[in-house]
Amino acid sequence: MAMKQIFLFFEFCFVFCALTYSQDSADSTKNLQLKEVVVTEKTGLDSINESKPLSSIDEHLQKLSNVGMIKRGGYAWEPTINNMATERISVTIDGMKIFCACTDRMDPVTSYVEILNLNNIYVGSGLAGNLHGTNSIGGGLDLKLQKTGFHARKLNLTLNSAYETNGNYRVLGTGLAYSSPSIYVNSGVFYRKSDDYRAGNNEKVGFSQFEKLNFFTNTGYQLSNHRVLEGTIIYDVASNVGYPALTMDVKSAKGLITSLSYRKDSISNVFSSWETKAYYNTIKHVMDDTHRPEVAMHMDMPGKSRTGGYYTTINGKIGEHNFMVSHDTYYNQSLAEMTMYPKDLADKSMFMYTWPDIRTLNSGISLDDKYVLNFKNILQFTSKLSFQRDGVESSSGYNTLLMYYPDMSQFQNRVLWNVNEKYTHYLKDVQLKAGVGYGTRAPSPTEAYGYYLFNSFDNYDYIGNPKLKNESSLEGNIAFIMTKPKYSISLEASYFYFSNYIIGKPNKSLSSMTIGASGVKVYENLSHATLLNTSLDTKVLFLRYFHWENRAAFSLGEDNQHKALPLIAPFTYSSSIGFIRKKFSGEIEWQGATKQCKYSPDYGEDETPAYSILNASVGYDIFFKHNMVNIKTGVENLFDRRYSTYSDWNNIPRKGRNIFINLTIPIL
Amino acid sequence: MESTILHFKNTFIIILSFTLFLVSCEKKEEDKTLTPNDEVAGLQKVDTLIKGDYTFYIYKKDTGNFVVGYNEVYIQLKNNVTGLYVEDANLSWTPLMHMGTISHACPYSSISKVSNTKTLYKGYFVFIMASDDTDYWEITYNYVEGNDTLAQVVNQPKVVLSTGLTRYKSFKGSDNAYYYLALIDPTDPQVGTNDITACIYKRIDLYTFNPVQNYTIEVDPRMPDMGNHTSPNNVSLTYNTVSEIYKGKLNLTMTGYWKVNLIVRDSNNTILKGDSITSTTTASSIYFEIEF
Repeated sequence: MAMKQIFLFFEFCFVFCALTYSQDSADSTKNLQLKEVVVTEKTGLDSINESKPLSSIDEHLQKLSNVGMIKRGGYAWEPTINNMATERISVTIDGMKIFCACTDRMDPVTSYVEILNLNNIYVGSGLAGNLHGTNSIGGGLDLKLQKTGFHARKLNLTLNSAYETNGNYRVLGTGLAYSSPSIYVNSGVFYRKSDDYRAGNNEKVGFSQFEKLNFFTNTGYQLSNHRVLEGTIIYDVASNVGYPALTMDVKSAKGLITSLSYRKDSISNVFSSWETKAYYNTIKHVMDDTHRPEVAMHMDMPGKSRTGGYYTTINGKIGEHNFMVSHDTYYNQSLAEMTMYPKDLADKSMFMYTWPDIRTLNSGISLDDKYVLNFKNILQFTSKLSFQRDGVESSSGYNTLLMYYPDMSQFQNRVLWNVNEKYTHYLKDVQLKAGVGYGTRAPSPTEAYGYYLFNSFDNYDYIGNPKLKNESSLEGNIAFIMTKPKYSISLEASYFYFSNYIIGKPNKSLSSMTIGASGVKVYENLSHATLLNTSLDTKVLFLRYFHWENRAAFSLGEDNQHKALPLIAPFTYSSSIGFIRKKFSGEIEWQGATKQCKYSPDYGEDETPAYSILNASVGYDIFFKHNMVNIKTGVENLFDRRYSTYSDWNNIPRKGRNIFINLTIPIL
Repeated sequence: MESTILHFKNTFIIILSFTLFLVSCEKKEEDKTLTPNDEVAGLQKVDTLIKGDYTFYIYKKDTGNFVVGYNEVYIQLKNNVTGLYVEDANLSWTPLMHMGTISHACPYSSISKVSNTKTLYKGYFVFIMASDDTDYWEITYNYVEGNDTLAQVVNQPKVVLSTGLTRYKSFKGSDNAYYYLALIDPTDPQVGTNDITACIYKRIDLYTFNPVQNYTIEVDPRMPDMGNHTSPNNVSLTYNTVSEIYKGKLNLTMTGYWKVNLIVRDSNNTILKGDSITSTTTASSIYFEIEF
């Protein structure tokens, strides 16, 4: 009841805001610098530059610098930025807040968007990582959706298909892009299905199958010159998704993502654009253990997450200040429950809320000011201040937590803020960057209010702690980037000093719930922790058609006792030689990692051994009448190595040899 | 810019009203004058006993028979002449088990007025055995004023063994005395912290069962289905001189079947009965059962 009222109330808010601002509105993305552009072009794919354009977003993401992927199976990997995962980064879709509905992180936000629906992925590092982000001290990902825009009347329709031998992986999709001076539509349907994949040495990885269907439509309507109405609907259904690293699979994960925005450009000499967007999304996630052969206890674990919110962003320029001011509010409900069925059928089933109807209301204002001192020097200041009220709506859930925290209040208020200053110096072919920032984040719903969430990585049950202080981060970063016509070098480093670092610590006085668990961990604030990320990227162009790219990265994370933090990458490297000439393209890539020397046994890690694998691909464009059919094929893990990386949950092995073919056929 | 400011103002109002909304409304209960009928609403009448000018109405909370263990009994007393219910009656009772040539009593409370009512009285029995064709319980109810017994009635309730969850235990303590321990609350357990109340009586002789004070009843709730999972921060039951029963806190982390393992200690902290739960001892020799 109350929930319905609250959402009705929010709907009212949206209408209210929309009415208030129907006069002025704008675009928020103009000033954003795209650090990483994955895909471009009207139908969403830059097939020339991608060796495997139809691979999932996850596979695209893992190629980005600063980004890592935690894998629990063949589908829905959890992205990390600067070795920080979901609770420390923000993932938004076109600025929309959306939160996963699974307590075990089986459904990261990135799993609800399809590659053909993406224009690019904006990756921001550190505190300044995402203007629309909240609690994102590690960085932010913004998935920018595909929007054709208003042009001369044109209709594009493509058929996309891919096949991969490993796992009998099938992909079929179609994308439509229609543009006209007053209306544009991007729409598509994408279907993916894979059986269990095979690791190196032809070892089948059971329960790694998945199936996914995605519908999307982005549309825009030009009300008049410089006034645009845009809307998005995404519906994504993943079903029968196996998680070999976990004890449970997913029966279904359904996401409905909607937004409506109003934008006004060229408002005045000062203000260039103003965009106001209202959004609502809902995710329902149902786990399933009925296919597992040996289950200690059968259980149902449904979860849901609903988020409604709005933001309004104005861009402008005063003198040499390019600024962006944004105000955003969101309200999230995260609810998950668990029903366990005892072996003794005479006994009643056991029920608990694992996310006891957690509510989060966050409202804030952010500022981004880029001050061009002169041609050679730019100062960028970003800051955000937000107010958060979070708590537990379920009185049963509240009573449950009261057992552990007798004096906790049902709701609590937090003030969160960050400031960040970045200096860029241009020196001929060289860019020098240095930044410093300080910011705080609130505990995530799981960290504050989670209840007996089993972590199969360290084999502990986790209980949230509503008394956690905000975690803060002092960040410094430097970069040296040299770009010459024939080669480029980029050297980057960032350092985070966390205070009140939030992490789970064993509490021996508590009794575990999961049968076979080692004990219970409760989230606590560590006095401090540190994290260092360094990377070196080089690119050399040679023999006219060839390019040679190298990448090396090293990270180090330590807690207050100089013990390793979990899920921190060891030394990783990759080297690739690519070839592009007219219709042909090809690439050979060698990638690997050294032994993970610094690992965290306290968090279930062991020493991941070194590995290296070889990938190869070729692409060819066929002209058929006036249309260009693009074919890409290649082989991954050529020597069929059995390997797993530091971020593979419970050391599940990655894919063995895989031969793939991607086809993009323009129909219209 | 003006509309920006306006916007923040609006947002502030939205947040404020929203916060107020979250704080939510609280129900106010208005006092009503309860009739005697209102006061027994929800109770089950088990007997009507008429003697002279007075009628005893006997109630209990649930349907079904009295059970071996804790039984709460409610009484209304009506003056048949005036037609009014007696509001300040001095009521007492005695239970007696008749077994052929011998007899014995059981633990029982005195009778007191139910708070916030005018006509309702209550007390409890802890029946220590079931009745059958030959052995029967007989309760004598007395209405006394000064030295005069105004009315005395008798009934013979059927008492059966409880087939459900264990809420009553009798045991011989390490001091060789016999004890009778009965769980009163929770009757409707919830996930979270529950008030747990119990009474414990010591047998002095066949007709005398005294409530013991200054003992401690330690609770260790366990879920055998969940690898003997337990809950934190339970509070041992101690004697409450006002309510004259033992009170403590029982934490239940989820719904399902719970075995509440008990240890009874006397005023010198000596264990009279019960065992600590370890990896090898999965249950105490005395326990209550709860399922919800």
